Amino acid sequence: MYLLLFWFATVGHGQTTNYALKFIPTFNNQPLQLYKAYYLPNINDSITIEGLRFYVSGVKLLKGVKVVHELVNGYYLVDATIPETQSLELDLPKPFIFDQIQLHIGIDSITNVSGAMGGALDPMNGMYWAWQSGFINFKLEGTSPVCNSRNHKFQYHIGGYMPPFNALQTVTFSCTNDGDLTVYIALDKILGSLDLKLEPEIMSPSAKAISLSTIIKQNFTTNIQP
Amino acid sequence: MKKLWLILFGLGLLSFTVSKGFKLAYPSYFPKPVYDFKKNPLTQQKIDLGRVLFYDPILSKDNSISCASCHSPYNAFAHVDHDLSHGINDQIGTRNAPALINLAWQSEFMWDGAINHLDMQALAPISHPKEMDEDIANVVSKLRQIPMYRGLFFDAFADSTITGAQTLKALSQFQLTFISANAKYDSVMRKESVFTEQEANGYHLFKQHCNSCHTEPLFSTYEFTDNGLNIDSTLNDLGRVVISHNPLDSFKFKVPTLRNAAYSFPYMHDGRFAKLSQVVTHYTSLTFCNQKDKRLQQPIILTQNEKVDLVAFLLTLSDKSFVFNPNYSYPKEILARWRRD
Repeated sequence: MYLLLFWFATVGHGQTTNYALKFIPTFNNQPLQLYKAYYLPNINDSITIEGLRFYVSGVKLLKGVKVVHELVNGYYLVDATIPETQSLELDLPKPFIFDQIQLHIGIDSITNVSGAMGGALDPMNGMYWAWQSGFINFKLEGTSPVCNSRNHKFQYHIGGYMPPFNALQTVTFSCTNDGDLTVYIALDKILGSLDLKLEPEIMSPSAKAISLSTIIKQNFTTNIQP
Repeated sequence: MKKLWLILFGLGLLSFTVSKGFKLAYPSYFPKPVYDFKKNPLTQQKIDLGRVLFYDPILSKDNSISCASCHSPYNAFAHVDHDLSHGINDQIGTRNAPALINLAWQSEFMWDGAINHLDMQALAPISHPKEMDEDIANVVSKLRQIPMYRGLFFDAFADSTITGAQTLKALSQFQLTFISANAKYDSVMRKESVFTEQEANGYHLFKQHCNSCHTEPLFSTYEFTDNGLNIDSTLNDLGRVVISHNPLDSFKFKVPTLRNAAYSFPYMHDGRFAKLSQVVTHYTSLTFCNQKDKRLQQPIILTQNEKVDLVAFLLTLSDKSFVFNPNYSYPKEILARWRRD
């Protein structure tokens, strides 16, 4: 029994190809520093980011339009406060030739109705709505003096899986299969698109959540834009 | 280190062999359950853990409220004599605590269907500021400090880490055993007894006027519908529309089962009716309103005697063996075992 287990472990290892998918949140094209006061032009005031967490799932490797590999049951919770979570080591069963990587920002609707799951999906991670079932796909929190809210906080908890408010977004990146892929998340652009003063909170499935999810998607890029 | 790993692995195997699958018994005239047991296979150990959790106020912020506080087994897991339930610090909520019966046949929970899976249901009362006002992550950290729970989780999951998912799955397992299928109605279906003349007449009237929403054998279709109740202006509860954002879902609430209705008073989403006879009178005195369910557009006309007969039939849905099932009661024998160890 134990020998068999050992055999699986070694054989599995020999064939695995490691490929890393990295996520770097940025502000003004520089890696984000949590709790640092940044200047944001559209509000003409400062802003401080205290937390950023989002789910990555449904990772697919594509060659042209063909899916060459899919990471089934791969759910990752990226957390800006935990550097290890910002690099996803994809354990590929064998080397693949691919030129694009596709992924979901969030959790698909089937997983949303599948009951309690552990690991990244455990509701104790604080990425699940208790009052109305559903995962929070993307959570961005912090403060700005302009926010008309308690303690000048802003809280954007974006989720929802039921039509018409399905906030799941899918992004596709061109890449090469011989180097890791780094995805930058331009938080200055995401926050710059929001009305921080009058709408410092979006925390339920809604049209506003959908429109913010689209802006979030547009700001997941593989190149730092000047 | 390697040795320790082998010992732990061995213990894991041992406990897997001890955990025997638990088979739920339900009548042949019941449909297939909708709960996916493959994702959460029942075992006696997990059911026992769920039972201990269900009765433990540790799930609430100040350790004062348990699931059983509002879902008592002696009332078919409803909150007897409370139109609206009170939670932490005696705060009153906005809805009547529903009876917990035959949950394996339901896929949407709460009066408005806010919850999409039995596993996730417990999160709502745990985190509601007027119910338990707690957080699942904090519940887990409290449980981790208690040796009995480390032991119960180890017995159940071959792992004493304790996670939120395990806590929720164990609570589901206990609640999945809440099967009520042993009322007089069931014995008549199984041809072990017969209805009285009054009950038989009530059953006839039931099939004519009630069965399209409270459909046998579960006595509900579990749909969301508007049964013509006037809105209570002290609550202004709009029902399912708040969840679905579909204006057609205004004033819609889940059709509750009629099983054990006599044990689970008061009735309706806001507990406005204390007696079954008042519920029957509601349906016989509906005025025209095109918003309500199509099945209620035709007036229901019943004589005084027919109303009595209908209630007599509803009483045949009372399942004594369900409400007094010792396997559902406070888990004193499980707790005693852990105190002794």
